[in-house]
Amino acid sequence: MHDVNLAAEFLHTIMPFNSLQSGDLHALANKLEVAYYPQGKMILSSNPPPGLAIIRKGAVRLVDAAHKFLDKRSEGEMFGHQVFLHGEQRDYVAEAEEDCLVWHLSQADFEALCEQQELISEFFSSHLKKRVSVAAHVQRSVTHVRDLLKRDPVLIDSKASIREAARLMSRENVSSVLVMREGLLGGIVTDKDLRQRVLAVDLDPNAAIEEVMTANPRTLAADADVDAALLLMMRQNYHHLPILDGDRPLGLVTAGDILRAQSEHPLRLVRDIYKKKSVDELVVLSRRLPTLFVRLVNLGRDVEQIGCMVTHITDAFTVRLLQLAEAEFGPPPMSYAWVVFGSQAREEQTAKTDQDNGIVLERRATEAEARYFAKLADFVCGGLDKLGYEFCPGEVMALNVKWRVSLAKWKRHFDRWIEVPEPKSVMHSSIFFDMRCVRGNSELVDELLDYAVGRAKRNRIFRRFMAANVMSHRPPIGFFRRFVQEDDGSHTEGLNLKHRGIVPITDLVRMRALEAGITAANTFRRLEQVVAAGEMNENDASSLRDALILINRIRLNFQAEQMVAGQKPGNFVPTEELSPLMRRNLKAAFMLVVEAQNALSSRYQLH
Amino acid sequence: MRDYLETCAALDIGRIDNTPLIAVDLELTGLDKNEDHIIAMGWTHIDRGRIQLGSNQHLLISSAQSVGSSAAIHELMDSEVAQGQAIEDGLEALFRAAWGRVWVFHHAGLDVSFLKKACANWARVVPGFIVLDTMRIEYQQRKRREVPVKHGDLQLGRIRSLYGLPRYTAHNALNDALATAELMLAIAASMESEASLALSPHLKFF
Amino acid sequence: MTLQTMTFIVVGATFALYIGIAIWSRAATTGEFYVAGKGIHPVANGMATAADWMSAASFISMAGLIAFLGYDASVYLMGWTGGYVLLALLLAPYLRKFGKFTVPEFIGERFYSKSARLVAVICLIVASVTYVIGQMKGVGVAFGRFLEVPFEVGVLVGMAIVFFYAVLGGMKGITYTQIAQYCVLIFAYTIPAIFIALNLTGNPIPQLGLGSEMADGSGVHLLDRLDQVIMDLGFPAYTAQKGSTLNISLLTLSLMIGTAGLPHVIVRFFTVPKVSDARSSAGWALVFIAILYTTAPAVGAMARLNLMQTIQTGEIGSPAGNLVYADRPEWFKNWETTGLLQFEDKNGDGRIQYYNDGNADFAAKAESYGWKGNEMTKVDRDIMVLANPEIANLPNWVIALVAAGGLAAALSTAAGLLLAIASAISHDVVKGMVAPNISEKGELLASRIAMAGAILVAGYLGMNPPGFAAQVVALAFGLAAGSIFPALMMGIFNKNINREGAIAGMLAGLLSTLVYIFWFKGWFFVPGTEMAANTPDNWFMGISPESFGAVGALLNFVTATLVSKVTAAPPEHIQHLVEDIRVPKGAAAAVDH
Repeated sequence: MHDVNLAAEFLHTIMPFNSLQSGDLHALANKLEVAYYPQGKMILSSNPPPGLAIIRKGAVRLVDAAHKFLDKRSEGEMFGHQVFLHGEQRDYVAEAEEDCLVWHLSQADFEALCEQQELISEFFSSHLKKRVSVAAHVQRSVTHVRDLLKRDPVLIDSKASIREAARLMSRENVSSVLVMREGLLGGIVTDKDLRQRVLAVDLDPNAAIEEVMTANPRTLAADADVDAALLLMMRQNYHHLPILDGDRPLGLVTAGDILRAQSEHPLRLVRDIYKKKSVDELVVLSRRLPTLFVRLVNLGRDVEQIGCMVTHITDAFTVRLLQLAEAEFGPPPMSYAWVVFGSQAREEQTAKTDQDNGIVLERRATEAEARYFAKLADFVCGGLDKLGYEFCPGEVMALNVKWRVSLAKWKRHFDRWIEVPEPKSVMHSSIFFDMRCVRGNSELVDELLDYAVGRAKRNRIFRRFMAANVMSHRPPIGFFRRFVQEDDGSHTEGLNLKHRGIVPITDLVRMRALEAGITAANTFRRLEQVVAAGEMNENDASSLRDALILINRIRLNFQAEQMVAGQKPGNFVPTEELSPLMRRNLKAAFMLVVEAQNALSSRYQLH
Repeated sequence: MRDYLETCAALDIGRIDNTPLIAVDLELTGLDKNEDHIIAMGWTHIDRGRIQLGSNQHLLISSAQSVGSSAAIHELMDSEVAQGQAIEDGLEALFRAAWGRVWVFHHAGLDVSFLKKACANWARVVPGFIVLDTMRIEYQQRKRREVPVKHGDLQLGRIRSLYGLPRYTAHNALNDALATAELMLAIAASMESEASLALSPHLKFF
Repeated sequence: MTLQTMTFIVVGATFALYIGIAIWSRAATTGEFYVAGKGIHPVANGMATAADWMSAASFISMAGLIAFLGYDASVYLMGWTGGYVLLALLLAPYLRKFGKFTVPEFIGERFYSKSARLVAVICLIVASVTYVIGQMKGVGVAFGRFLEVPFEVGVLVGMAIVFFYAVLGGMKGITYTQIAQYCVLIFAYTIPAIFIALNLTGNPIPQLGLGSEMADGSGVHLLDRLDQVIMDLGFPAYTAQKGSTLNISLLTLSLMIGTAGLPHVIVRFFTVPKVSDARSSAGWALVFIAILYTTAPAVGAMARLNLMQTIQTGEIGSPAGNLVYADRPEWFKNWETTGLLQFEDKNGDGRIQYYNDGNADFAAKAESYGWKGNEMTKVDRDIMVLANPEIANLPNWVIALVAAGGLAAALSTAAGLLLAIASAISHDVVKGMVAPNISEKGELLASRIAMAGAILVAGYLGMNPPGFAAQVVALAFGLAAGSIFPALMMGIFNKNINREGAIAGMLAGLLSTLVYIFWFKGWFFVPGTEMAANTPDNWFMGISPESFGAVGALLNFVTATLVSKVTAAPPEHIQHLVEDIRVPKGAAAAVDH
């Protein structure tokens, strides 16, 4: 029978129905009814129980009786079941936020299903309850940058004079103007540019505006996510971002726009960081970190973005400390790069982090120069420690004179690790291959990485040692595919998700990146590039990616809960607190890692 | 067939919410009703404005003629078609399912002409069809709004994407019937918002 | 307790030990263990290497060969030991500098050619599978005897266990498991030897016992007694050189250079981080190997003497001088079950006559005794080490220990080889050439299938053996010598050898050796397909198939050089690469610190 397989296929892609046997799935699909709701139309009210509704296409918002926003649901998500807020059941009305195609399951059928399928009933009684309660804290009404635009952009031709531009800006009462060249966006000029590039240097105001504009600015498409805009601005410390619809400028988004739209946000923290004038002020600011982290996790943002945002806050602290240090000790005597390693380099930081950093100098330092960088490192590392980024137990810090050396010496470090792969060297290299420049001359770091990765790519004997190191962190799957529990010291059994899940995956992906000679540090970037280089099967890559996201998600949720409870966030998750469905998914994720490890050990003849 | 014709007379046609509908799609070996055959039928019911996925039906019809080059479209092979039912059984099931319902087609002209031909051979009767044709309705809507219509604009997939409906990749009679049914709901909803309430003006008799 | 029960207990205990170590170290390897342990001590690594190195051929078969071939068999000792030194000094350091740990990878990169790599993979697989045959033979002998089943059944059981062991994998590669295997193996080998030496000569050290006087007070040296006993029965003197000097030299050379090409040993040199550590573990490995290798001649000689004296109980020619078949000892019956020892009462006197009926002079004399031919129609040499303690009436636990030792030797080597074969096929061939976009699961499956395939082929050929374990292994070494070794050497030491030359050379070496072997041993070792009888008269210049590897290597060198001369020189960067390998640049960087 061909009958309802399309419906069943779609159901199979969504939690919790993916746990159903194919027969049950088809039976369920047979009970569904399809309805279409144009935008704005009310779909159902939660009282009396209307049965379950699954969004096939479109988006739905849940509002309470006073039309206050409760939550938003989009494709593949559900509504119609009970919703809890602060532990209290809430009535709501669902209306179509966009045109929607919705699948309905009658209340009677829904109840019957829950009765038959334990996993499903559990899903609706626990998981969603939690999710909604968290999501309801925050309004998520703005999702696309398009929604942030308040007015048409102010445009001026590139041949117009600076004076004309200034007048236009005053007339329109804007702080920036987009410069058009042959119908396309050619650049951007802000108040600050007029101040710094015109007035401060006595430039003739009759000169063409294109001479002072910032040419080819970074832009974003109108349907980009607000978070993408945020990330871009955080990363580059931009304040204005032109928004395009195709080639056509649609408007301009400023950091302030985003901040106003979302009252508490990482970007605000990053902006505040750059305003602070002393370490003590930064320390005060750093106390906001835990709350922010919890918020990010609870918002349900994707794991990759959380890692990015947390990391960029750390970056901002680091850069600000360096700026303060340079202000105090004077400009650096030579070009240098401040590099970070490990999870910060991979942009995968979470709640609990040590600092791993170092300095790459352009050339061998004289004694006086060495003293300068010693002071610099002392200031920055000490500052980071005060901010809560504890000293690295392995002393991989710029504070350590060994990691504060010239580019040539760094290369020799790598030479040695690769030629004499003792356990310590291999451990070091697994930290140092994840390397990223956060301030200073990034060309130094690029050159170093190209050199080191190139050598590692050519030397398979070294990689065999690395592979053996990868195999030393095994997922907690024992004989007979059971979870291997361990003790956290306080007699609760559970899993160390970092050592048993995250580290094996990042290690594996680093191996594959080195095989392909890829210098990127971020695990997701590496996976993309390894696939693009034809070194890895696409399905294998997306399996690893999904496994990493799943494990990290569970870990982040736990860390957030621990922080809310006032505990120190850890990596140890007691298994009994995981639902059976979660446990099953976690196990599936671990099995993927085991598989990848087995393939690796076979390739390097390790067992 | 007689049963069917009797219920037709009793149809009470009004808004989509209170009119039972049946969305149908046929797979054909070609476009010529005298040369080509029906090789598959798919249908689904719409009750109270909702598609009943449980009513979905997909029938393969055995045909003496080879599916030939049309196989490229509907992906049915001769061997599969050979395992299908006799056209008579298929028609009986179809008309039983269509009792008391208004037909919904996308591009009704073609499918109805094949059905009529088949009925003539089977029951020696050529029934009348009360039909909603999503293609025709969309065409009229556009004409009314003075939107120019180009060749190919009225393909099922194109219109569906206009209404924000998902893409179906698989191409078979049932999926197309479902796609037509979803489109019908979407069109009805859009007409409602434009305050042209009833379906009646769009009914067409074949 | 019966011997069989005891064997089960001891073999079971050793397996439990290996598995226990594997589980323990797997649990301990999460993080801290690896960092805390400053790598593995060279002595430990030397032991592990020795376990890897000593195969069933070394353990089970070598002493048997020596027992029957006498002094000539010492070429195996010299060849293998020499090869090990060659590998440690001449090849491993350069391969390490090149950063490659498999031969195909080195050849593929050095000769900038996928085809060259493929040819190397093929050579390696052929040589490795042949080597595994030897292990299968050894395992079959051991299992056949101790399960008291026919040899063929023993091989089947062995195949299953080897497959399980290699696929499970986790047990190998963990250095401590191999150290345990070495300990089991060396105890199993030396303890019976000590007992027997004590019995025969009163000297507990077998190596010294070999040169001592008999303990029966006759004042005769052990070797003299042995020579006398076997010459009296028409066999050539134990201490005589029987083969031609050319053949013996070539055999030694083949074994030596063949060693260098075998994959599982090369890998061992790259498991220690420092070149200096690698060197000292190689030194220690040599010491640990020497313990067994120097014991082997003593075991061989004493086993032969014991066997002869068991059968020939009295004076030669007197009717009562031979063992009555009905009174034969238990071990005799047990080995008969396996089919590896066969007796046929040709003259119907119910006694066993074991003598050399191929010796015309003695055959005539035997006729006068009423003997109608050698009645020991089959004495498989591979049973000697295993039967030795039984013949000498040693306690059951010693005999059981020997079984465990034989299995340890065969398993550790077979698993290493199979992993190398599996990796070569799944990574070099399937992923590298056939299906680059294969999933990891697919790659793993390919390696399992390759492993199973290799075991099946090796098992089949193990049951239809072209020779004894050590000789089969010698063939493997010959193939490796003819094909891989010259390519490695030329790759490192001669920058003018190009792709075409290397491929032609390897093919010439491999094919000539293979054909020569098949010519005398049957095509694919199938009995009855040989083109000429495998006797010295038919051999080309008196060179035995086992020895031909050295000739193959010569052909390889010559072909490669000639072909390289007439084709385009290797690209510039390859020539630089070759020059770089031989300059100790790494040393300079290390000194800098």
